Amino acid sequence: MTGLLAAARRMRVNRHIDICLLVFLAVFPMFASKFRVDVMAGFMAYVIFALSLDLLWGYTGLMSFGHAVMFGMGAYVGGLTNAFQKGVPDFMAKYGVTEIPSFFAPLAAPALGNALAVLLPGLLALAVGIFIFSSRVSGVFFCLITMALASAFATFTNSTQQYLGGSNGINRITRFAFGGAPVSVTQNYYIILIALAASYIFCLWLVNTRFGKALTSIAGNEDRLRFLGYKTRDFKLLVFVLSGMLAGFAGLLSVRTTGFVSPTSCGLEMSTMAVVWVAVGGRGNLTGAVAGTLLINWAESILSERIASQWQLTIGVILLLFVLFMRDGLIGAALGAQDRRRQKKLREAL
Amino acid sequence: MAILEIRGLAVDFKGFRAIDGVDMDVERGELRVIIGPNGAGKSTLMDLITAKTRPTAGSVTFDGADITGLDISDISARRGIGRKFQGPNIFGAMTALENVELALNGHNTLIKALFYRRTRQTLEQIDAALARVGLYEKRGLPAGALSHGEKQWLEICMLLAQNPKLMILDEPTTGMTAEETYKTGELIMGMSGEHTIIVAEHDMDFVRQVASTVTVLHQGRVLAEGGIADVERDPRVVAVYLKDSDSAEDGQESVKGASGA
Ligand SMILES: Nc1ncnc2c1ncn2[C@@H]1O[C@H](COP(=O)(O)OP(=O)(O)O)[C@@H](O)[C@H]1O
Ligand SMILES: [Mg+2]
Repeated sequence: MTGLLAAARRMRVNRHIDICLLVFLAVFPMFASKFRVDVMAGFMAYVIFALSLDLLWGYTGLMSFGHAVMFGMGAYVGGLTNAFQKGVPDFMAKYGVTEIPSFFAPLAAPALGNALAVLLPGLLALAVGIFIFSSRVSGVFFCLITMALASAFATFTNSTQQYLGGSNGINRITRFAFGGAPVSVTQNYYIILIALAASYIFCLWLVNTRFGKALTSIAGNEDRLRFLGYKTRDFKLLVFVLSGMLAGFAGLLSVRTTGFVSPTSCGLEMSTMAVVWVAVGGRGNLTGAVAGTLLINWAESILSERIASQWQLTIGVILLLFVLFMRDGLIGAALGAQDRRRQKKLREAL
Repeated sequence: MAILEIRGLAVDFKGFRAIDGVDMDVERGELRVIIGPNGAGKSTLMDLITAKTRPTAGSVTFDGADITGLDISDISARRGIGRKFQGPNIFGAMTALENVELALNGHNTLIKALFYRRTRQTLEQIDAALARVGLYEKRGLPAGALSHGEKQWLEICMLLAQNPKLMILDEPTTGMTAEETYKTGELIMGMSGEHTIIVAEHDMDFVRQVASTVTVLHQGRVLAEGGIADVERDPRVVAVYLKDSDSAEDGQESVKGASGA
C-alpha cells in the first residue's frame, strides 16, 4: 500500500488528471441525461482526433492546419459504408445512381469499409508525407500545404453531389450494430470510451518509446538528431501516417455517433478547432489534448445557446489569450510547476 | 593509410570561398587540432566533412570510401563520424541521461527505435559515459538546467555514447573557465587513440595542453601544419593568428567569451 502511494506521488501530475478524467467519463452516463451522454460520446471521438493532432503537432512540432481531412475522410468512408448496407442511399438515387458504383464496392462489406476508414487516411498521409518530407520543407510550408489540402478536400466533398452528398453530406447514419439492431446510446458511449482509452494507451506507449523521444527531438532540433544518425524523414513519415490513421478512426467513431458527416467536418474550420483544443489543454503531454477538447466543446455546447453569434469571436479571443499568456496550455502549466518543484529538490539533494 | 583524406576541398558561398583547396590527412587514432582566427573556415570544414554542406570541389575519403555528399544520418550511423557543434546543442527538456540514451549507437533505425528497451546493459553503457565526463550525479536533471560547461561535457558524453570512429569537436571549450578547459583537455586526450579526433580550438593553452598535430587554417586555406612548437614559431602563423588571439585573451580573465557562430 505504501509502495503504491509512493508510486502515485512519483507520477507526473497529468497522469493523476488522466485517471480522474477516466473515472469521470466512466460514471458520466449514470447521472447525465441521455442527450448529454450522446453529446459526450461525440466529444470523446473528437478527443481521439485531438490526440492524433497532438502526436503530430505537440510531439513532433508539425503544425497541421489540415488534419480534419484525415478525420473527414474516415467519417465519409465510415458513413458511406453504413449507408450502403441499406442499398443505394437516397442522395445518390436522387441523381439517378441505381447501383453502388464500382469504385465504392469495397465499402459494401462493413468490415472492409470500416477498416478502410482508418487505412485510407493513413495512405493519404503517406502520399502527402513523402511529397512534403522528401523536399525537406520548413515548418511554415507544412502549415500551408496542409491548409491547402483542407480547402481542396472541403471543395471536393462539397462539389461531389451524386457520390458524397455535396454540401449536405451524408445523413441518417446509424450507430454500430453487432448482428441485430444498432447499439443503444449508452452502449455506444461505452464503445467510444473503450476506443478512447485504447487510443490513449497507444499514444502513451508510442511517445514513451525511443521513437517518441526522437519525435520530441525533431521538434527541438531536427538537424542535431540527424547528426546522431537518425533518418528523421522516416520518423516524420511514420508519425504522420499513424496520426492520420488515428484521425480517420476518430472520424469513423464520430460519424457513427452523431449520424452525419458534411464538408464542414473536413475543412479548415474543423482543423483549426482541433488546433485550439490542443493549444488550450496544452500540447505534448496527451492529457492536454483530452482536457482541452472536452473543455472547449462543453463550453461551446453550453455557451453557444446563449451567445451563439459571438462564439467564433470568443474562440478567437481564447486562442489569442493562450498563445500570449499560456503557451503551454492548462495542463502544460501544471506540469511546468511540478517540474520546477522537482528540479529544485533534485538540485538541493546534490 | 590515413583514416581521413581530404583532397582539394573547396566551397563557394555566392562567390565567397569559405574553404579554398584544403588538403588534409588524419591518421587513425590521431588527435588533430585545427586552429585559426574567427571566420577562418574551421566550422565550414567540419560541415563539409559531415555532409552538412556540399563542397563545390574536392573530395572527402573516410576509411577508404568516398563520403562526399552522403546523407547526414548515413555519415553518422553508417560511417561512424560523430560531431559536436560549436556551442551547446543538447535537448534541454530531456534529462542528461535521456540525452545520452538518445545518442546511444545502434538503435537509430525506425524499427529499432520503436522497440528499444532500456536494459541493464544499455544503462551501464550510458552510466559509464556519464561518469567519464563527470555528470553521473546530475543525470536526472533536465539538460537545460546544467551549467554552460556541463552542457558541453554532456555533448561530449553523447559523442562517447555514439561511439564513432571519428569525433569532430567544434570549439568544445567555448565559455569554460580555465579549470573546466583543462578538464576538457584531459577528457579529450583520454578519448584519443580509441577514437580519431578532430578538434577546432581557439584557446592556445588548450592546444599546448593536448600538444598534438596542429593544422592552421586561414581564409579557407591551410597556412601551416605540424607540431605545436613548430607552428607557434612559424612567422606566418604568428602574423595572422597568435598575436591577435593572445591580445583577445587579455581582456578576459578566467572565462572566455563565446567566439561567435
Ligand atoms: N552558409 C554560409 N553562407 C555564407 N557564408 C558562410 C556560410 N557559412 C560560413 N560562411 C562564412 O565562411 C567563413 C568561415 O566561417 P566559419 O567556418 O564559421 O569560421 P570559423 O569556424 O573558423 O570561425 C565566414 O566568413 C562565414 O561568414
Ligand atoms: Mg566556428
